[in-house]
Amino acid sequence: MTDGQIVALYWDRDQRAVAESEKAYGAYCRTVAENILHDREDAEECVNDTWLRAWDSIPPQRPDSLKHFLAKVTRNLAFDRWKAASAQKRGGGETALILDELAECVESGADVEKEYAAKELGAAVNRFVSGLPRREGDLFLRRYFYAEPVGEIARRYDMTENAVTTALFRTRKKLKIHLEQEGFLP
Amino acid sequence: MTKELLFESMEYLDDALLERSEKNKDVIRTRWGKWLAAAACLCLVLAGAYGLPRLLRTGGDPRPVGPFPSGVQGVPPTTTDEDPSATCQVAVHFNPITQPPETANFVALSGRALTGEERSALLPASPEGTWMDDLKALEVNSWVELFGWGEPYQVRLRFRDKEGLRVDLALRDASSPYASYGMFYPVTPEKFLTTQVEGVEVTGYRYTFEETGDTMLWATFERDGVAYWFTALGDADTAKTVQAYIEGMVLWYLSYPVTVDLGAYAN
Repeated sequence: MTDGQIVALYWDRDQRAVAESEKAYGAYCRTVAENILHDREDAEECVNDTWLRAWDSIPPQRPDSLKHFLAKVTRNLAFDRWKAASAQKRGGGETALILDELAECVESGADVEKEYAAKELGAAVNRFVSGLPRREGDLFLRRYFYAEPVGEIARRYDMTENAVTTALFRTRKKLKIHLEQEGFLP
Repeated sequence: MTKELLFESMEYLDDALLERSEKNKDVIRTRWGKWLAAAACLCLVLAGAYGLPRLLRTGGDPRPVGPFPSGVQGVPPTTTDEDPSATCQVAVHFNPITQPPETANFVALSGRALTGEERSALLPASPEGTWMDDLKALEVNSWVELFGWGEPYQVRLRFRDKEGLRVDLALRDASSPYASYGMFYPVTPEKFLTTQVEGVEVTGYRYTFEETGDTMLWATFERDGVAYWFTALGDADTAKTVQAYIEGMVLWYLSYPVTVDLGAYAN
């Protein structure tokens, strides 16, 4: 079944939409959730929540790419769960490491911290990734969108872990400069 | 702004970018790809048996000869300060792994000379008493090589002394997946240099070709994500001098690494 057909099921309030979504993207969404949560049971619950969220959101939404719509929903839900677990000291691990890496991009010597809307910031990050050479951008996305471990990325691109780490380090430095230039950092 | 917000903001990334990262063909570049690369190298070695002697007899001219397609128009002048319009086809590299497929595994590289400023950035300042003093007596050509589709591949500095002896330094992104295969004979490498500076280990190799006695020397190391490749061709009489140049350059660049952002050289 195509994405368009599955979305049509959601719009028709046909419950087969969930089964078809699970069939097409269940494993994919579970991977996204597991990368963040590192717990199979939590990831499973998270994916179930994804179908519920999709059911509530479509309609009115009509995503162009159902796959990435579901991935983003899963990622958000997983991250919320991770933060809750983290507050109870059950978090940590790879996701904490990824956040620490991203912290390098937002650290500022200034005393005044300004808050920005995620959407506004996301648009800036989107411009940044779009302007990167393809491979560099892809590495960035695998790490910071999909939260993949460095070892997994290295296997995916047939690189050494050291080379991946170095490439990501350089990209983070560029992102920080980009955010400064766009006025997100003083 | 917090790191959490930055992580969450990626929810707004374009689907097309995410899709692209999933469609990367490198994902399937696994052991089969390596075997294919090895097979391709073998073909190249066989081809080199025809082309290399000609290459060496032409005084070390790096331009491909023999069965390789070639659109080489020569090396650009020292900098674009001298000729702002300087461009050239500098090489044709055999690349068995990467795209685009329509080029049938041969990826034509085009190039342009560096600006004076770009070139200076690749030549660390020299205190007295180093090999860099000799730079005053060296001719230095420099250019960036780009794939046929416009992506920068490497920057190259070519040092040539008064006698015409030459050492090339190519600076690449160490994480680049693109392989470059020169015209190598299947010779047993002989080490001429083993050194370690601040944890970076370097080994230099010398290949001597039995037929002509000519020599190919190379040394390489990685630092801060940049791969440094030093290469030179010489005959039996000049090998020692060329080797000394390489040793000097290796030690110099190990001590004074340069910053190379290949993306900045894109057309």
